[in-house]
Amino acid sequence: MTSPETSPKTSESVFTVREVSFAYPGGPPVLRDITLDLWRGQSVALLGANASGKSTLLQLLDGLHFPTTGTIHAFGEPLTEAALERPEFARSFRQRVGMMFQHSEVQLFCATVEEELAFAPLQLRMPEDEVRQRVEDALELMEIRHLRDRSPQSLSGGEQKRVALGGLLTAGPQVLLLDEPTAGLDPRSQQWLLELLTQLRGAGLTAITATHDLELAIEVADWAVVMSEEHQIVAQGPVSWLVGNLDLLLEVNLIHAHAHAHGSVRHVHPHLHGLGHEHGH
Amino acid sequence: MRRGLAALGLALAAQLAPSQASGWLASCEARAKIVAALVLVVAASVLHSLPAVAAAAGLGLVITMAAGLRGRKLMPLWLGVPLFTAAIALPACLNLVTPGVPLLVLWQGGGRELTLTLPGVIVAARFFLRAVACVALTLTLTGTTAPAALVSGLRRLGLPKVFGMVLTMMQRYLVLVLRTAEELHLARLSRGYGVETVRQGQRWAAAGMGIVLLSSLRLAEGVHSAMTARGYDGDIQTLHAPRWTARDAAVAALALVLAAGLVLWDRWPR
Repeated sequence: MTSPETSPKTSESVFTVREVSFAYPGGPPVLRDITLDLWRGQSVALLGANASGKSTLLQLLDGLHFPTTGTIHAFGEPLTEAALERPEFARSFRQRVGMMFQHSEVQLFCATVEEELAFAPLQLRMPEDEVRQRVEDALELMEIRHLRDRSPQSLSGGEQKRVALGGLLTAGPQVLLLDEPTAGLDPRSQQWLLELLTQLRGAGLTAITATHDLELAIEVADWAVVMSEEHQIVAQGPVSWLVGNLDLLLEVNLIHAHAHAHGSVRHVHPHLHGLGHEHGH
Repeated sequence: MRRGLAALGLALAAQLAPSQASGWLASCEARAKIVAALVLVVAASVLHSLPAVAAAAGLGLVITMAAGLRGRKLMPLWLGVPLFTAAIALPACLNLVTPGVPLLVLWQGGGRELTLTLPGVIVAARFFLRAVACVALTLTLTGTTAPAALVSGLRRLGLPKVFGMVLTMMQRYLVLVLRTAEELHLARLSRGYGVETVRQGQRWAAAGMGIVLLSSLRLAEGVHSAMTARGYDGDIQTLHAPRWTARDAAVAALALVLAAGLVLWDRWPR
């Protein structure tokens, strides 16, 4: 595995992943020997091509699936099925970790936006007055007050993302797991989301963003973990170092080489969408 | 087909939307309404005499009106009850099913006749009125109670957790499944299958069901994961935390008294 330096440790470990492998029942391995440390306040981009296992790893970190082999610790405690059956641990964990799914349609299942925002704090048994206050705050922060009584199913993609993110923030999480957060968004909504994520990062939230979009990784993360198409972690390091490592990016299918001509000069070079490239002629 | 799916989606969305009824019953606690509806439905089901069953149906309709339910929410009552009960009850009116005093001769020939009989009409009327009572009471319950509050109320009354989870999940992703079916149909139309025979349409619908089932399983898993990720543990919590008040107790008690009164009137020796 390539690693230019060790992960920037802070005082508190959020996730400790040790030699984790995972396969869905009857299926091939989706994750192989994943070892990873994530620290409080980090902004991490989990980079990899389609089907490299990024989303599955996020779901394991969120305690929605459990490793076939290996261990995961969250906030110093083992993250196991048995642990999540204990109501006190389950509530504490679910409050501290929020996950935004790639497809908002599975995440938005309530009849109105207001109910959607109230869902998490209510399930976490917060007092109703506090829930209402959190809903008001989220409506304000997400600029969706006018959508309060609308059905989430009837909203545009950008509005749905706002509601989905608002629905996470009402629980007051310390860690956000974001699965392809900008997928399917128009440029204005993407920009709004990027600014909000930067703002949340400034507020000290730990954010782990799964994406294959290098531009997004540069915007939202300072640390990158790269997964190969063989479902393994092949590198981790500062995002700025990573985007300069073109051989690695080509190898893991995060960029591709393409051929084109400038006048009579025809050449092949790696192509970084949105990041620009230099021509040596 | 597309219109049918879209209409079904709209009807479902209307049913699953939060209660729009603003009457006094809408503000009652779900458990009180469930208990009241249950005892009245059980009473209507065990009544035998026609006047008593008619009284139960009348009571059901009065409660529905008093609850302020209007429009699309009442469609099952005005459309569903006559259609479904007629299919079952009309044959019971005939002397072939229920022999007795003839009321009207429908056909005669070869020494045989087809008639409407008095006992048959009474059986059919009783069945129809029971259906009116039960559907009116059930509609009142579902029309004045948000789905989440209804499931929460059932759980508090002892419904096993697994049933509560199944009901919640069904409510959460039913609309999404319909959308999948609609998109499947649109995708097919876009590939040039616009003109088709009924048989082709039926064949496609049968094949499509399998795909929708698979999609719905994936969706169910996704929705369940998303709910779990936000702290759902099998007991749905709602924004309007239910509180049992004296008025709720009065509603449940009144329903018990009315149900007992109907049964006593029905069984009283004449």
